[in-house]
This record gives sequence, structure tokens and C-alpha cells, in this order.
Amino acid sequence: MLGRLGQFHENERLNRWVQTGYGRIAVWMIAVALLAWHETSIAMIVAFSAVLLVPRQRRLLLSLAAAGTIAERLGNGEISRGISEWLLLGAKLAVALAGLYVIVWLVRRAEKWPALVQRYPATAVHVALWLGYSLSWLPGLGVLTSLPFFAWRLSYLAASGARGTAKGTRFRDHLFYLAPVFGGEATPIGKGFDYLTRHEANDGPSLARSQLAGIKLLLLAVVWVFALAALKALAQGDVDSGRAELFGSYLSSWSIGIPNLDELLRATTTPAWHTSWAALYVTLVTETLSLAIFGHVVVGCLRLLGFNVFRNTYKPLLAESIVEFWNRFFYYFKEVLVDFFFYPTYLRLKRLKPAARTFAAVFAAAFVGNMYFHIFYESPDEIFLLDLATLWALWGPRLIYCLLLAIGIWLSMLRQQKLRAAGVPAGGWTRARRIAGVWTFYAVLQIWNIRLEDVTIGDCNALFLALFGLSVG
Amino acid sequence: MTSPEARQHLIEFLNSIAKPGTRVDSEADDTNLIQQGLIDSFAVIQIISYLEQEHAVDLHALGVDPTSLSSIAGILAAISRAG
Repeated sequence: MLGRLGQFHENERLNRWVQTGYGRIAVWMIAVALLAWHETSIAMIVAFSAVLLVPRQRRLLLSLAAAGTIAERLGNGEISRGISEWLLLGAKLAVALAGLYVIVWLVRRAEKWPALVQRYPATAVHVALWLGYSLSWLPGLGVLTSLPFFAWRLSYLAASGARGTAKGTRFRDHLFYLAPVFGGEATPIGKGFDYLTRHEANDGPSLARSQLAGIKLLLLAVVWVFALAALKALAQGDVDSGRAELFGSYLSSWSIGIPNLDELLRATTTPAWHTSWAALYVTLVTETLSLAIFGHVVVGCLRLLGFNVFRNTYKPLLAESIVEFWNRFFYYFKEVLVDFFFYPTYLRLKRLKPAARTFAAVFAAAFVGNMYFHIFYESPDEIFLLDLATLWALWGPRLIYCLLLAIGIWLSMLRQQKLRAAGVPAGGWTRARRIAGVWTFYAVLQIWNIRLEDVTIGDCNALFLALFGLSVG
Repeated sequence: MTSPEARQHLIEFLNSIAKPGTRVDSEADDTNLIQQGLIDSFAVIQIISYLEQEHAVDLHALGVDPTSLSSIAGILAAISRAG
């Protein structure tokens, strides 16, 4: 019964009703209520309403919303301003749109690119972005500091150009995901043109299915908001302000007072080993729920708009292997690393033995790509620091995190291949043991997945040793 | 075009890398096997190795998007392009 209820978006009768006038009104009301509850932008709600009215003009409508999103960023969200400031904002928006138009125009003419750019389109994009970013200190060019936001969206666009799929497309076919009204940060949730086109609803039944799936995801996000509030309140005594604040406040009086990871790392005295372990597991679950809420809202919006794309987070806490968890935890981030680091490396290294070839590709994605992604998005300025000690202090923990992650994924992939070859499905106890192993790996690994100014790599290592009752000095 | 034998051989291979307890025989050619949970996304590297070894397909040279190898139709198209 619960299973059928959970699959309501696949129900044919409901699908047919949703395509009727009353059904569309019901979808609009429920979706808008959910979007408002999740505090999505007004632009998103307006865009969804417009798409529901004229779904065939989806890309045009979303491109107009994208222009609004760019204007909002350029204007730092301020509304009260004088006429001259509005004119200046209009001029900036025109320049930004013209810049993006030129990029799309170039991509459509990919057959005329130099051979090297055709062969390495994403690399060419990043060279151009670094050059652009390096000019951002010049007067009037401060806007170029926002280039890292576009890095992977433009990479997908360039890849579409190199494949020839962007030929014959229009500006509106690309603007809507370059500056998405549906949200997302550095990671392009929904990837780019090719992926979104493959998952776009082009008829009534598929649009209804997509919108019902979007509502399902937004409802699931509501459940996770309360689950997260309950867990944080009961385990850590934390109450986040916002939608579930009252609920969290009520439960926090029963808190068992487990510290979170930041508090553990900052602790002046080493907590008991069992407290540290409990804190790591609780932090893993809270981080997973937080990411699931964020991803469900963005993917929920995409589905409401008619792009029935895969979830960003899909039951990672039930994963039975390290590689499966990585695939399910933050799907679109993993896709960036796989599309632009893993596959290119794997396809070029044909002469290596399979295990070495896989290792090189995993290392390129989970270590090199992962580090590059974060450095470029979070603080590209720091790459120009020539002081190795400072760089190590800033990025050392993440370097260790990425290295351990890459090794873990590689070993997990080799193990999965062997298990697949054996072809024996896991029973209940074996499955539980595997899931516990995955939780433990990622719970411990997150010790180094931090960036706090007052926490050193020594603090991370000390916490790791404390888990086994050991201390540094 | 790919022969029925090549298709049957591919199905047998996909069954060998599918998650334990699952089979791909009854799936439509355009079904996304990853999204259906029949194979994981990293099984794609086994598909790449299969194409290289069994059909001498050079995906890099052909410019094939590896993500298109998540369906039977996508894999058959890659074999067809190489042939």
C-alpha cells in the first residue's frame, strides 16, 4: 500500500486527470504551496506558472527567467534604486547576455574551432575562464569573479558543441541552464543541453509524469526537513532557524548532546572515543539529509518545469559499497567528475592493464578533479599563493580527503567487479554488514572534508587517532 | 546495422555485469539501464572494455559520449559506428 502510494507519479489514472483543466489547477496549487514552503525564488514560481500555461514555450520562458536571475545577481538582489542605477543594471545585463550569446554562437560553429579545441573542449573552456578570471582585478571587470559559477555549465555546453549536438540550436536552448532559475550552485544539477534535452517532456503524459515526480520529490524534501530537525535536536541539541524551528525547539529538550564534527575538531580536550564515533555517524546522516533536501528541491523544480531528470541524492545511506554511495550521494557532482575527468582519462589509457587503467581514471576524477573543482570554485585566488606551507594549511585536509576517497573508490570498484562476477545476491545480514562498512568509511573520511580557519590538519589527524583511543603527544 | 548475433552476445555480456539477481533480457533497447538500477554507472567501464576487446571500438577516436552507453540501443549504435 505504502509502496503504491509512493509511486503515485506513475499512476496512469492520476496522470490522465493531471492533464485535465482541474488537474492542472490542482498541480499548480500544490506545487506553488510546496515551492513557497521550500523558500524558492519568486522567479521560479512565476516561471513554473508560465510553463504550466504554455509548456511548448518552456525554453523561452525559462530563458527570460534566467535573464532575471542574472540581473538579480548583478544587482545583488537590491530593488530600491534610482533611475541611473536601474539604467546601469540594464547595461550590465545587456553586456552579460551579449557575452553569453557570443559563447553560444561560437559553440554552434564548433566545426570551425581549431582542432585542439575540438579535441579538448572542456580544457579550452577552463583555460579561457582562468584568463578571464585573472582580469577580474581590472576596474569595471569585477563581474568576472563570477566566472567559476559558469565553469561546468560552459564545459557541458562546449562538449555539446564538440559532439555536434548544439548545431542548429538557439540562444534560448542554452541560456535557461547557464543561469538556472531552478537553482543549483557550482554543480550543474541537470547537467547541460544534451542531458536536459534527453529528459525533456514533449507531450502531455510525460509532462504530467514529470510534474507528479517533481511534487513527490518536494514532498520528500518536507519529510527530510523534519527528519533533519528531529535528528539535530535530539542528537546534538541544535535548532536551525526556519521551517522546522518550532518542531526542533520542542524536541531539543530531550537532546543527548552529541557534538557535531566542527565542535569535535575544535574541542580542547579529546572526547571519549564512543562520543567521537557517535558524532561522526550523526554528522554523516545530517550532512546526507541536508544535501538530499537541497537536491530534492532543485530536481523537484526541474521536474515541475518538465525536465524529468534523475535525483541528485538517491538513498546513499542504503548503499552497499563505497562506489555506490559516491554515485548516490551527490549524483551531479559525481557526474561532473566522471564526465570531465574519469572518462577522458579512461578512454585515453587503452594500453594500461584494466586495474591500473581504472586506478588512473578514478584518481583523475576523485582526487585531481575533486581538488580542482573546489579550488576553482571556492577560492581560485589561493592558487596564486607561492607559499607552500600556507597552501598546505589551507588545502591539506581536503588533499588527504580526496586521496583517501580515490583509493576507497578504486578498491570498491575492483571488489564490485569480483562480486558481480560471482553473481550472488547479498542476504540480509551480509547487506547490513556492507552498509555499516560504507557508513564507517564515509563517517571517518569526513574528518578531513572540512575547511575551518581555526582547525589545522593536525587537529584532523588527532581526532582520527582519538577514535582508536590513541593520542599524538 | 548490427547483426542479431552481436545483439545476443551483448545481452549475454550485460547480464554478466548486471547487479546480482537482475537481468536485462526483458528491457527495451532504449531503457536506461543505470537509471533502472540494473547496472551501476561504473559498469560503463566494463562496457567500454567489452566494446574495445570484442568489437575493436575506439570510443575516443569516434568521439562517442560514454554516457550514451547506458542503454542497449546506445551500445549497439557505438558498435554500428565502428563497423
